Amino acid sequence: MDELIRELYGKPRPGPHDHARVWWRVTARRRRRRLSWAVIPATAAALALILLILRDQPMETGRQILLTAATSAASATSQGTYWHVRKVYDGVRETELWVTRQGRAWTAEQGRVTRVTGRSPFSMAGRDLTFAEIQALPSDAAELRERVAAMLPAGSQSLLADALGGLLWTKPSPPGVRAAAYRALADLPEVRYLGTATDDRGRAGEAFSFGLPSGVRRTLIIDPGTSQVLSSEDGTRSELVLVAGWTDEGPR
Amino acid sequence: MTGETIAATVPWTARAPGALHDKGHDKGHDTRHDTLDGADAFAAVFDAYFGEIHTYVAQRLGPDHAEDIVAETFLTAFRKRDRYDPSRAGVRAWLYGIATNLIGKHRRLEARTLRALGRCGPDTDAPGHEESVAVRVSAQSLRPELAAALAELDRRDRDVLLLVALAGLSHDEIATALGIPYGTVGSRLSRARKKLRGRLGEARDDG
Repeated sequence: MDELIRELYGKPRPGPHDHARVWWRVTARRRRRRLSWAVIPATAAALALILLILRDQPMETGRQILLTAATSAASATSQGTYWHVRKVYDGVRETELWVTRQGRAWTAEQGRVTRVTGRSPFSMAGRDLTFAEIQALPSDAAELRERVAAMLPAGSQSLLADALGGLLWTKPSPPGVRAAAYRALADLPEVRYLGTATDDRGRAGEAFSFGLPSGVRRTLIIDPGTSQVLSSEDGTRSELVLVAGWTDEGPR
Repeated sequence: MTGETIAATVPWTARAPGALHDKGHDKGHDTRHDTLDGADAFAAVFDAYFGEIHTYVAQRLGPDHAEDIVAETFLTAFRKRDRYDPSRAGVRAWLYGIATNLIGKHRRLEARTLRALGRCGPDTDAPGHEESVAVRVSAQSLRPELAAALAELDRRDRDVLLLVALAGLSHDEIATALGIPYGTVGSRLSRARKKLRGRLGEARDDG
């Protein structure tokens, strides 16, 4: 009888990364538990609302969307002379950035192009990041998460989701790194899927949010088909990403 | 503050598989590393039992949902570590007890998993050597009936039956893990087995 039961259930083994991932979750939950009681009522209310919305949806929806975006990201190309980003801040201020593979950078605002000197145009958690450092990031999700976590200032582990998300937009991360960042985000328990949404320009995408150390939440709208981040909004500041990619056309 | 010591969580992180290397952490305090505090012991417990607890939960609730419950199991274990009494049950049985109680909160998911198991075989990548072809054939033909019969059992009977069949726990361990009297383990187990036998007997008679 017992053997029939064992035969019925089989012996599903955990996947290769499950051990590390669950350990991460267990310790992350305990870290968060200590953070602040003040945010708990708000978090609980938000969670209850989300649970209500998601009750009949498969739990996995958000994760699947991020994994789809990872697949799109992996198959993207990164050919061109200049990494080019065009963004709109708070709906009014449009800025552009060009960076070469050698790290030379220019910004433009209201038609005026300025050469960026003295510091890297990229940063993570307040620390400058060079073009070469971004290219050298690992393209395995678990490794990337570890590397990024190690780059965060001590006591700022709650920035992990934001730092991983930052690799998806405004930074010239190679396709493999972008794919890994999406996969790593898919496995972070603090990343919540909010459903489909449109950005301020009416572009449709999928909204995800995660907490920032300041207590507010950042919401990213992504297009899983192209893997592009369309917009970011954190309650005080909004950014629309109009262009983020490689081009042969230089600053003008 | 929560009343759980903050200091305890730091060594966990440092001991995690693929630990985060916090540079400030390694300097100066190496002399304290050889004390095995509660958190370090917990990391060792996690490493030792994660695999089989994950398998057990995946068996009962399906691999897609195992992760949440397994994480919850170890969190609960850590939170209730003060209540764990090593003289009464091994850590392994204690973890199975916690996992079983959490599984009990997902009855619909367990029913759905059993329906799926009844329809087709699980992904067995490596059948054990001890399983004879005959057993496998009969198991295949009885699979839908067995799954349905398991789903119909009272949850408490099923818990005991599966802790014996899947986890290999003794009656003693089950009694402590689930917090029930020793005699109750036996009565639930025999009731569960009797019901399954009845149901499978019918299936066989129907041909």
